[in-house]
Amino acid sequence: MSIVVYCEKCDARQPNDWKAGDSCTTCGGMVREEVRCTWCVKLTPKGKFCKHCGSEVQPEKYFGAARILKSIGVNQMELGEKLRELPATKLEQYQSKYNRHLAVVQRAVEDMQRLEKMVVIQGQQKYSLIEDELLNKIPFDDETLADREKYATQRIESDLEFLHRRGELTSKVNLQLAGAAYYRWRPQQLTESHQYISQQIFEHIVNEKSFHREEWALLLGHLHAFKNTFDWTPFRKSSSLKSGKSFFETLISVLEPLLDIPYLQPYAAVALVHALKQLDQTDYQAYQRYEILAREALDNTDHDLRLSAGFLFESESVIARVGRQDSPAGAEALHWLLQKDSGIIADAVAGDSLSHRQFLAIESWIKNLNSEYDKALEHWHQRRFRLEEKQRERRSQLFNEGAVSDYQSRQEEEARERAALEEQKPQPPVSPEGLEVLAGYALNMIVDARDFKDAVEEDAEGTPLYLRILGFAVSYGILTQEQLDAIVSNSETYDRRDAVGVLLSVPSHYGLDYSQSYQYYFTASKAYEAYQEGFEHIESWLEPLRAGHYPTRQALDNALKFVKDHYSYTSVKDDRTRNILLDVLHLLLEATNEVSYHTAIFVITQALDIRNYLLAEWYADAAIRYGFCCRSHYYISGSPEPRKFEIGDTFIEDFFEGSWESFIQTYNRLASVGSRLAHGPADLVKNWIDYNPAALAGQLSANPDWALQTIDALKEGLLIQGTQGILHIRTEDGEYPLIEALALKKWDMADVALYYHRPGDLHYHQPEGCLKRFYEWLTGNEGINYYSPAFEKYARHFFTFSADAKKIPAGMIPLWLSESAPANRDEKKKTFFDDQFSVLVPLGCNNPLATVLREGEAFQLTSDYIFEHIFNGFGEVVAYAKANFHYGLKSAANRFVLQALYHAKDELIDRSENEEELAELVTALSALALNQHEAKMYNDYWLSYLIEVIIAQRNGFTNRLGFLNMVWKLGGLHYSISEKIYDFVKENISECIERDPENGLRALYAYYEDYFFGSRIDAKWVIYVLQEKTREIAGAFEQHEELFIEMGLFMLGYITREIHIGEADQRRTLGELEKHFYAVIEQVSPEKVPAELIGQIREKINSRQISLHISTKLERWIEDNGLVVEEAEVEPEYSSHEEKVQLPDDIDYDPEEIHMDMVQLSTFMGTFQANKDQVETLINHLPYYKKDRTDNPMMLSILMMKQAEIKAFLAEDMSAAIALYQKLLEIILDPLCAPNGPFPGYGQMTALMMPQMLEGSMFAMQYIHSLEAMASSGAYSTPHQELLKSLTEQLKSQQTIS
Amino acid sequence: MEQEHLSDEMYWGLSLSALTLQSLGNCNHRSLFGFDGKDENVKAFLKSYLYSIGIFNAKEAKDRLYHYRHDQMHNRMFMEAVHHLDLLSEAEFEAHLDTLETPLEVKRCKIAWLYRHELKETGIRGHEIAQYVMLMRLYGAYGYLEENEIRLRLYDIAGEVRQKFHSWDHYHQNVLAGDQYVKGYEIHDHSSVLISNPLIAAYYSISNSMYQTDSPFFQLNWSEQ
Repeated sequence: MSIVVYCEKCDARQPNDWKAGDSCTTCGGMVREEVRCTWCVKLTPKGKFCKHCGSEVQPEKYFGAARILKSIGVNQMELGEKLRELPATKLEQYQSKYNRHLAVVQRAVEDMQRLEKMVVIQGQQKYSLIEDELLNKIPFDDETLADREKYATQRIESDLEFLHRRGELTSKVNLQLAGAAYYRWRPQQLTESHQYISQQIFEHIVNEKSFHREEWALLLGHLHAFKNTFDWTPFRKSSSLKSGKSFFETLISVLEPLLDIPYLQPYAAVALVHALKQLDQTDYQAYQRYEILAREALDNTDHDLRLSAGFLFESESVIARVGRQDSPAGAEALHWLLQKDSGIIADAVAGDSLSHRQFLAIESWIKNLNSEYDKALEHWHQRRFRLEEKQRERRSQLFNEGAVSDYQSRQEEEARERAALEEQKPQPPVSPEGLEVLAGYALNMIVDARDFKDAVEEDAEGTPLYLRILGFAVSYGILTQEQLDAIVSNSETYDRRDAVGVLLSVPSHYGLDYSQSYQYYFTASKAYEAYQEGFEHIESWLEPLRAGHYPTRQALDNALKFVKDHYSYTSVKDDRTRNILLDVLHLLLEATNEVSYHTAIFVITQALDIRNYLLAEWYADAAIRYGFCCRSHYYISGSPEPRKFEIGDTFIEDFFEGSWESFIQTYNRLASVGSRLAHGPADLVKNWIDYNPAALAGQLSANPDWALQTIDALKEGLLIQGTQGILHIRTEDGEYPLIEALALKKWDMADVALYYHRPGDLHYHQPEGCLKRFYEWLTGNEGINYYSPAFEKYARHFFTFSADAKKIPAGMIPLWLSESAPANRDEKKKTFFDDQFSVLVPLGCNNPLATVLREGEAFQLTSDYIFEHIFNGFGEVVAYAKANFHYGLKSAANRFVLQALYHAKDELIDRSENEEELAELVTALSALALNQHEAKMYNDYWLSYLIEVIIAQRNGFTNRLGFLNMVWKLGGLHYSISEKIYDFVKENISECIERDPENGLRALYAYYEDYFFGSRIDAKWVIYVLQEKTREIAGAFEQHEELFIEMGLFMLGYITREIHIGEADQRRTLGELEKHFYAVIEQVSPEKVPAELIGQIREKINSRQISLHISTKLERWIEDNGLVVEEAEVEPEYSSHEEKVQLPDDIDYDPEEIHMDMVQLSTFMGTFQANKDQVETLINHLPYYKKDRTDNPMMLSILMMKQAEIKAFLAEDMSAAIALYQKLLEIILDPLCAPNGPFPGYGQMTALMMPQMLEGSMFAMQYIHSLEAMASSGAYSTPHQELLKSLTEQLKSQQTIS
Repeated sequence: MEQEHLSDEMYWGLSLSALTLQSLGNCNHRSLFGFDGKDENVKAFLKSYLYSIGIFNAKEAKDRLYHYRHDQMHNRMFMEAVHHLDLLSEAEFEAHLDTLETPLEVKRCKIAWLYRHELKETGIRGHEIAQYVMLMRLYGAYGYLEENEIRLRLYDIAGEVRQKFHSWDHYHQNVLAGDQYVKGYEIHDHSSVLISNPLIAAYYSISNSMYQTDSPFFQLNWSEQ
């Protein structure tokens, strides 16, 4: 219910919201003259009495005193009277007292005045409210007064501060308004929660007692309410209020009146429309009207309002226009435009550059935008850092293990891990394109030198404005060349290097020439004068380097020189700087231009220069640990192609002046240098090599001198560091140049150790040369190296093949032969080598030669290989044989050599240089056979082959007999060879006789003696030879008279020898010699027979020492050849014999008794049985010589053979016994059977049989007597007598025993 | 024990080597071989002894026997020396000594000069035969010879011994003289030297024991059979 009021002066109608005290809206004068009632302090029209309390209206001057009086107890009725009664002084006193209190009110009014400027609704009413509130309270109590007076003395300059301290305000009216003003003032920086704000607004609107409901309602149309964050929940509550109306109705009732007030109309409309929209009440009947009114606000001069309207209607052009304003609203507008990514954001820029406030707005917006992202990103970076740390750890571990070849797989795995992490990387918020546009304008803010100079305002973090502008500009925008140049020159002018740093912290924009900025930024001659500054300067490179901006050559060189000069301090004291330095180097090396090359040269030079060892070590370690100069690339000027840090012609050209030798020497110098750190310079070099070992291997292969130098270095490295270095590198052909080079030099212990570390595939495939060197080493220095630590630790493992001959390298065999040679007295050594190698020797000599390993492949040894490679030629074989063979077959080494000789037995003559050498070999071989010490077990399978080897050499000897003798000596060794040897001897002695009759014959006849006494079957050949070679022997005798005499006498000596009865073998042997003797004599032409020999023969014949039939033949031969000398005296005796022999015709015998011929006789003998007939026939035939006329006592042999049978028969048949005894006696007494008779065999045989037959017979004594008588009769020849006598003696003694 | 298998003839023949065999060491005179060849130690001793005189195998062993039997060893040398010295005067002998090259030759020559009359007939054949027999026994022990062959060879050589020597003492002294000649040492009176020469020691021991009943050589008569 409103009352229409008209101005008293101009009669103009006052607005609906007119309150008492408001001025006229038209003339500005007082609408109605009103005064304050002195009692109730309410305004009342200037009349007689107050319209509120009815008190008398007093003139103005009494008001103060009236208030005092009222306070001291004057009642309403008395007041006017009292006032008027007051004396002037008293009045003045009261007035002054009142004034003191009034000042407080005045101050509140002043505050209100200040607040009014911050709110929308203007008007006097607010002041009235204050007076209503405060004047009533005068006088204040002392405390309040003092407090307020104190407050009054303060002067708060900042409006914001003033609003913040609104709690101190004296008046509640002020306080409530200050709340609204505060929210209206700086919405974007509110610290209160949005819920609280909404709640406050809501309560102020719905509270009818609230002083400033309209003002609070208008806040709904304020920018603040357009924020996404504004909380509309309290307003949307559907429950009705105390008044019974809904909020929306309440709101309309509050704001509707304002629509009638022109200057408030747009505010109210916007607030209404916004609220209705938010409350989904757009179908409200008055909504259309409100909207039309609100649209007018789009053209309002109040930017805040216009912006709100713009927001309300989403009018970009309006917003953009507001955005130009250098006000909080402008910032809000910009934020909105950015948020919407409006295409017309450029319209928000006035002129060609941003205002300061605009920039700040953009900055804060971006900050807000990025805050979430930054947090996520920070977390992600921490994860990445941890991953990298872990990978680095593993990588350096790999390096320590030397498993460089695993890098490939390791790298792949790491890449996978990194990729997995990369996928989880938080995505940056999408920046609106508008930012790029704005960036250009932002940059223009400082293009001008003066602007640049002034843009120093720092933000909360202390970053000056120009840096922030640059940061924003380069992050989002695109530089132009002019801007770049301008800023760089500005920076130079004002010495703001950091500005350029910001420019360079992002990758270069395409097509821009940064050279000036590089020149300025990276050059810092003064900074390098001091340590701290110098490194700070270098540290400042990090960002540009990361962005891909690189210093000029000069600047780079200066920096690197500075680093180098100060390294000693950096290395020891300054961890931080060291790490920064690492980062800088890393970035420089990762450059894709020549900077990487120059830096690499620096790093490599430092890392390889071990004169300053600490430096070198640190660089090398860093290089490997972080992948500098290894596993990475470098670029050289003018070539876009990346080059790898791997050994090769290009690399050598780039870093070692094209000299492989220089590189190799560098490696050699470093090979033995270790490192305190995980990696040393040597590792760095090795790393390059590892990527392309074949290149280096090829060079080493082509230049053995270099390889030898490298080997020395490797040895040193092995001994000092225990590393194998590049020993394993191989050429593209798969060769190992360093291993090959090992074969070119004499070895020492270190070489052995080095060779021990040879690559695995050379475990069996060992180079012959190296084995040879190893052999030289082990056998050299008097063999002492066997006991060296190098042998124990390394070389011993070269011999791990004992089980299998196929794993024995052929080149090792000389070692065995030398160390296990039987002549070697070192038993320990010998045993060791025999254990390893004896598997090479098969069971038997005729087995194939062992198969061994040669150059990694199975290789069957050949004799030729053994002679020419295992030994150095046949001469050495002979030397070996000479020195060792006499130790016998027990030695495996001997057997091995023998086997080789056996398999080449037919070539040995050709191989030996001369006969002497061959003889030495054969002698050694024979010694090998002869030493049977512990060798018996080998005889079966070795000896006969050994003999074959020896025999095969016969044609190589001119002295056949010597050779023969030598072979001969082996005859008795073993049954397996005897036959072979005697066959050989037989065969060869014939040859010897022809070639060298003198010695040959002597040997032959000497052997006859052996035969004679030994009567061994295996010697029977001597007789055959004698028989077969009669002609040759005779021929020899013809030519050598002395030999003839000697041998002739020798034979005669045997022929004339007496053979004991029973020695049938000797007799037979002798008979053969007799025949031979005669045959030889017969063959020789008579005139050649020496007279001395003939004399001897004659003598022997005469003395009847030669058996009859030979002597007969000899005599005939002598006679025939007319060689008879004066031997007349002997002749008669000889002739008497001749006579008796020639008496067969006179021998009378009874043909009936002796009727059987030779054939019948032999049948009879074969079927003889002791019965009467047959015994009788036997007895009759006993003197068979009478018929047969030969001295063949064959019949008598039956007596001997069937002795027991016959004697048993005789014991029963006495007459037959007597007949037999008688017949035997007859034969004994027959002169024909006398020892000098023609049939001495018969006589002797009978004499032998007689005692046997008579043994145990009763007739024995009778025969003894008769024999005795006959013997002493003198009728018999002397030999016959002796025979009889001895027979008698024998019978006698037999008789005595029995 | 083994003696039972030995005929008297065999035993007699084996005894020809009594001195030389005893000089080798602790032999058994009554056994065929004198040593027990089955004992490894003995065999090793025999082997080393045979090696020391240059006999390494059966062929060489037989050859050596042949040489002894056919007088191709030292006796021939001795006889040549004796025949040569026989023609020299004492002064010429002294001059002849100077022409000799080795000390051994000089010593041998002196011994030959000493015995040039005494041993003109027999030479040092007794020594040779003693060696011959001893070798056979050693060979037998060592395995180069069969028992039968030893027997045959003993019978063979016995005749020559009987022919040349008339008593054991005669024979044994010849053995000693031969030993002197071969080894080249001069001893004029055997009884006066220390018994450091095993051969001489054996000589005295055997000579003295010939007539003791417990001696192996008791009743071993030179002329028996």
